[in-house]
Amino acid sequence: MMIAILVVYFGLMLFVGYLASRKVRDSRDYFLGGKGFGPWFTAFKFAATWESGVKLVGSPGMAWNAGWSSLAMGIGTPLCYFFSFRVFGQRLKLAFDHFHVLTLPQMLEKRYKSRAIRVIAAIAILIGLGGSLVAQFKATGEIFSTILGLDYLSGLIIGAVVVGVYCVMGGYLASVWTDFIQGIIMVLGSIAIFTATAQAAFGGLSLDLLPQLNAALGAIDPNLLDVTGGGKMSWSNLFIILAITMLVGIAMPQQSVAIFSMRDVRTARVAMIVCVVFSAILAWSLATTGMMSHMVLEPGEVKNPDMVIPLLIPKVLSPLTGGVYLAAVLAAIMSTVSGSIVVAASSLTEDIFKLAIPERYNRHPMFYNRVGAAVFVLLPLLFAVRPPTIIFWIGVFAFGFLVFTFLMPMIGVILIPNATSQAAIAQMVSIMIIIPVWTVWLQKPTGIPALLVGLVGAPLIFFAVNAAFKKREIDPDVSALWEKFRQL
Amino acid sequence: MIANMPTSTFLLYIGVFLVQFVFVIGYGIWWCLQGRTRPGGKDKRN
Repeated sequence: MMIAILVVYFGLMLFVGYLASRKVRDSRDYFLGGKGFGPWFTAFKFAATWESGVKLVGSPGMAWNAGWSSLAMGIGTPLCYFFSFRVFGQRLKLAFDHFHVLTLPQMLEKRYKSRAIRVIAAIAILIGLGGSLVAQFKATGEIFSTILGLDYLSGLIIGAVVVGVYCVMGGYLASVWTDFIQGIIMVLGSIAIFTATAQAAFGGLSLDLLPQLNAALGAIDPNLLDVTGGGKMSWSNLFIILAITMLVGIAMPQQSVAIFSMRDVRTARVAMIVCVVFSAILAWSLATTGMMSHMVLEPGEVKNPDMVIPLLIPKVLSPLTGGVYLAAVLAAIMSTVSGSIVVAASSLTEDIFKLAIPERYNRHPMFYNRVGAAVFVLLPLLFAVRPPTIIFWIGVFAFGFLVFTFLMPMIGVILIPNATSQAAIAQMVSIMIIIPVWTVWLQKPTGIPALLVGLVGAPLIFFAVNAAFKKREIDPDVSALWEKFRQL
Repeated sequence: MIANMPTSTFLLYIGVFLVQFVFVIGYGIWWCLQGRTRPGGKDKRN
């Protein structure tokens, strides 16, 4: 039954990819889906890309291990959506449309009047997203093989082929449509496992579920009720994670593309609410499921926290709902992968192919667009079979590398009218060197996380160089953009 | 102890709830309604 549900799910994703491919006519459709998405599609695209498969397996495991303290992570996600849509989103959308571009590197080129910044940005996206795609494909292979009961290589190939085929066929449009369906499956799966676990643990949902759960947790291990989980939660790490989470919408290209492809600036308003409702359902249902699993699973049965969900599914869910939850886990990881593939492909084709071989690209743009997407399916797939050391490290530092490379140049686009190209380039190049070097060689000896170095270093470098190359007059194009900002 | 959990943990529980449902969702609803009532709101479409 479970396998049948998963086969139907894979078939549905491929069918959606086929439908999207019939609507895609040019590069604007392929990389931005025609820029006509309303709040629901925008919200599900943004949230499903951000909430990865790790959450559906990892969150209950973390709650099983650290109890109520794991809920602290639940503060970060709504703040991420608030900052992405309310603080940055409307201005980002206005700037993207103002410059009439298709990719984030092109927007930076037009804003800072520098071809070099476009090439640097494209290289950063290719390295950062390429490396993180290998890590995501590796996780896909591991989760698919566990769920489908196959070996790692077969799981990897099935996952990569399904997500790769619909991305290559339908581009961003396929990614948005599949993310919408995948988001709904994630919500249904989370609610299903929450209600089934409550049924198994306490005989069903009731108003006194909270005191009942707490009494039971206190009897098992009082640390599960502690605000720090008995020291398992590091509040300094949590602070760094919260600070970075707020910057995701502006500084991660695979997230900001959801904002660029909105129908209009007002779309951000409803999209923000939908995103937070989505994340709240996942956060509360998965955290409480993890805690309630103490009452369902035998003591000593859980060898490591990631085993909570695989052990819980056969105990509390029927084959039908179990299949839906497994589909939800696969959906979560596939939505994250598809977002990265399309954005990486857009940089390869629009910012590298178009500059290197303009005549050939302009003769067959859609062919090269699909080649670009295929490259970001096949290469990560090959590397994920046995990741070389360098690729392993790129996967480790990719998140900080992307966020901090784009942080200040993007903030310059929407908040600093006199930001200079010299400051943007200096910050990007420095961070592209500092983050990998710090992660590989300096993080352990110094004990200072690379993310903290990026969080402090990026603004310092940017403002120092900006002060040295201070502009007396603001570019007329930028002044026109600021006039649009004032009308918001 | 509130609802059988320490007060500090209960505050975390309430804090997460407030951030999600009051701060962001509540603010979001207010933000949407404000756009509707503003004259010429449709002109802000890009």
